[in-house]
Parts: sequence; C-alpha cells; structure tokens
Amino acid sequence: MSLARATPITRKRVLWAAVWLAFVVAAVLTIRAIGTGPSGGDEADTAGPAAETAVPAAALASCLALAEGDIVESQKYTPPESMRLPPEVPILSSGAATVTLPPHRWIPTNTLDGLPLQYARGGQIEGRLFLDRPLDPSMTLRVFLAEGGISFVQDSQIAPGATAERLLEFLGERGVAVDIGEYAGVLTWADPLGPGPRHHELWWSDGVFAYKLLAVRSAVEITNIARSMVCGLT
Amino acid sequence: MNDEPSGPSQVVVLDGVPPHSRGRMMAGPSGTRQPRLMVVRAIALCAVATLLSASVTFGEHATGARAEDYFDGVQGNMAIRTDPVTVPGVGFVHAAWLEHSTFDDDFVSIGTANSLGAGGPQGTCPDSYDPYWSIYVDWFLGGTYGCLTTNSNVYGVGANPSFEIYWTSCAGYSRFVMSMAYVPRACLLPWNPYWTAGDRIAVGLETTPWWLITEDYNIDAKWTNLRKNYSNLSGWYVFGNCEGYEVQNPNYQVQYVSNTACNTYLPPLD
Repeated sequence: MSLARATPITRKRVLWAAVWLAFVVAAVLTIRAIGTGPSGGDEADTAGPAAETAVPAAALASCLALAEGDIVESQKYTPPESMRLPPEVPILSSGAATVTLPPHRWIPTNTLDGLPLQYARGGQIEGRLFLDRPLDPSMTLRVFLAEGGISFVQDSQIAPGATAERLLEFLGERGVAVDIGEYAGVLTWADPLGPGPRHHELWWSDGVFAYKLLAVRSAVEITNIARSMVCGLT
Repeated sequence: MNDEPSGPSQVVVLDGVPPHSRGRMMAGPSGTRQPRLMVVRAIALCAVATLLSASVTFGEHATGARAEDYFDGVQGNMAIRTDPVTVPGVGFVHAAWLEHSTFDDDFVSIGTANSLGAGGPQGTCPDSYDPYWSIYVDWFLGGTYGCLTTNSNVYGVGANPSFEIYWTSCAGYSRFVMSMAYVPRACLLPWNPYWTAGDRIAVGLETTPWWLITEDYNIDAKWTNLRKNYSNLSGWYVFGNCEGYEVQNPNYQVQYVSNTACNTYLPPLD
C-alpha cells in the first residue's frame, strides 16, 4: 500500500490540519503565559530580589538563590474530596482587631516578591498579605493564594520542642529540609484546600517566633523568597 | 458497637502530577488522534474546569464560630439528633475545630462521623456504612491533612457526648488533647503542632462530597454547654453567640439558642 493511498490529501483534511495547528499554537501560547504569570510555574524564571541582588560576601551559602531542580519533593497529596476541611471563610472575616503594623524587620519595604503589602494584622499571630491589588472582602485564603498572593505569618507562641527536625519527622516524605539563612526550615507542597493550584508552605523559627510563608510558587521560588527576607535582600 | 480504637485501613494517596505538567499533557498534540476528537475533549475539559472552579468547597457546612480572640480550647456537647441516609460516597460529620488563623490553613478537630471516610498520608479514617457514628480526630498541619478514627461505631441517634479540644498536658508534654465523653482520644500528635493557640473556634456539621449536596439528608446537630478557653486567661468562658461568625451553605441553618448553645441543621427535619 502506497503512502499516497493510505493518507490521501483532501481539502477537508487540510482544513482539519489548519484547525489542529491553530489549537496547538493557542495551547502553547497559553501555557507560556501561565508559566510567566504571577503564580509562576515549576519552570518559571527564579530571577527575583534574591537572584538579582548581589549577595554580601559575608552571607551564608544558605542565603544564595537556588535554581530550579535543586529541590526534590514528594508528588503525593490528599485530594480535596478525601478531607473533612472546615468551611472556607474570608481572610478578613476574623474578629481580631485590625492594626497598622510597622514594616516587618525582614520586609522593610513592605514589598515581597514584587507584591505590595495589602493587609496586616497584629497580635499573638501576626499576618501579612501581599498581592498585586487590594483584597476583595470575600476572598478566602485559597482564592488569595491562587491569584498569586503571598501570606506571611509570624506566631509568637511556639510549641515546646517544635523544631524543624520534629516537623520533618511528623511530615515524613512530604517535608523537605531547606536552610533559610541561618535557620532550619521545612518546605511542604501542601494538600489542596479545594479546586485550584496547590500551594507551598515554608516554616522556620528563630527561637523567638515561628514563621510561615504560603504561596502558589515553585519550591525553589518560595525558598528564595524566604532567603531574600532573612538575608536582608528584600 | 465497638469501643476499641480502629486503625487505618484505607489509603487514598494519589500519585500527584505538578499542575503545570498536567496542563502540558492536556494541551500537547497526539499524532494518532483526530483533531475533531481533541477539540471536543478540550471543550469538555474546559467545561469541567469551569464547573470545578465554580464550586467553593468540596463539603457543605452549617457552622457556628467565634473569632474575636486567641483560643487554646473549646468544649461542649454535640448531640446526634438524626440518622441521615447512609449513601455510598456521602459523608456526615459533626465536628469542633480550632483553627490557627485565617492567614494559613492549620487546624485541629474532633468529632463524630458516619459513612464516607477521609484521609491521606498523615492518617486515614475508613468508610463506615452503618447506623452508628464513629469518633475521629483530624488535622491540617504543615500543609498536610490527616485523619484518624479513634473509636468505631460508638454512637447512635440520641447520643450527646461531651467533647473538648484543649492545649494541655499529655504524656509529659503540652499538646492539643482531643477528648470525647471525658476520655482523651488523641494527643496531637506524637510530635506537637508547632503552634499553641488559634484565632477561630467553630462547631458544626458537614456533608461531603459536594456533588450530592442537593439531596435532603435530614441532618441535625445540637450544640450545648459550649465554652471557650482564651490563650492568655485561665478558666473556661461561655462560647457566646455562634451567629455572626457562622458559615452556612444554602438551605443549611445555623441558629443561635443561647451563649452556650447553637443549633446546626439541614431542614426539613423528620
């Protein structure tokens, strides 16, 4: 059987080929747009404050920006339908008093990964939210993160014995040890809070406070953000 | 009925794929597939994605809450008032939560559950399709979810067990201790969560999964003797009005009864 007989070129096939080509081109362009968007992709450029700023000579090696592929993490997760999660509530719904906080010592410019501070609440558990636009009052944590936001939490009440080693022991293969400047940190590719992309969580402590970053960024990106904070590169 | 702890018997861990990789796989060309089929599949996928993104959560809730301070405990009684139909794939949950903050996703919880199980790598609550409710604890800590059925099939309709979540001593350490019927069911966990108090406490009912939410389940949970413990004060204080911080999906009801009582239900009730 000749090739010409097996695949006769007809006007209809040409039309379908054109449709198919347009579909593929549109898909590729869409993927590229997502990969370079504010949420970033696994292969997104890591160039941020940490990568663009010269690292002081005296800085620790754990202040250097990592490159994609430097962190290997578990692919396992629990799907949303297998969790008994509390109902989602708007981030701003808490009755705790809203206060104007001074800039955090690690975020003196009130800007993190290029995003301005949109909301801060003090108290025993301090929270700061960074986003490229003001918060919608109905915005839940899941939506906030999916839209590219970064949540930074500082807790003044650390459980006795809470260390990176113990958290790693608890998390098992889901936890990854990362150094955040002089501090030991723990990275997790979190279980999904519902529909949408999964976020990363990064925990570390300086012995006085426990800190946590949450963001839909790659493992390397969120680690570099934390390093840029702790190492004075923000 | 069995009052013995039951171990995990179900694993629901999925081998995940990075979201962006999934996108590439869906959009990538396949030299052996017909373009018309691919276009149809792409449209179908878009429709499914739209449907998923429109749903707010995978469970439906009627929850009363307090969120005006920092708490390290909540206690009370949770009454199981009705026996909802046990439909395969549907879960019924009555639970009390202590959530770390609205800025993150950590929580610890204790409750009673029937039918559909839950869980993942951090612990699993198996399915239990029978008229009896089991005691379970679950948590979201460090970005991971876990669930543990501590006592299988111990309560029927009419039960009104006490419950308590409290940051206190257990086995020589300060931990969140989860009790029901005055019996500690879990000290969370062999290792502590790294925080000691949360800014939201809540009680309520939940049905899962989301795609069967239009069914009438005749669910009724009554909460009484509700108290809270502030992280910077000793003693227990009245819970307060459970409305105001409530969350309720359409058709569900959260009803303030008193500063120590709250009703959560899905009418009509039998």
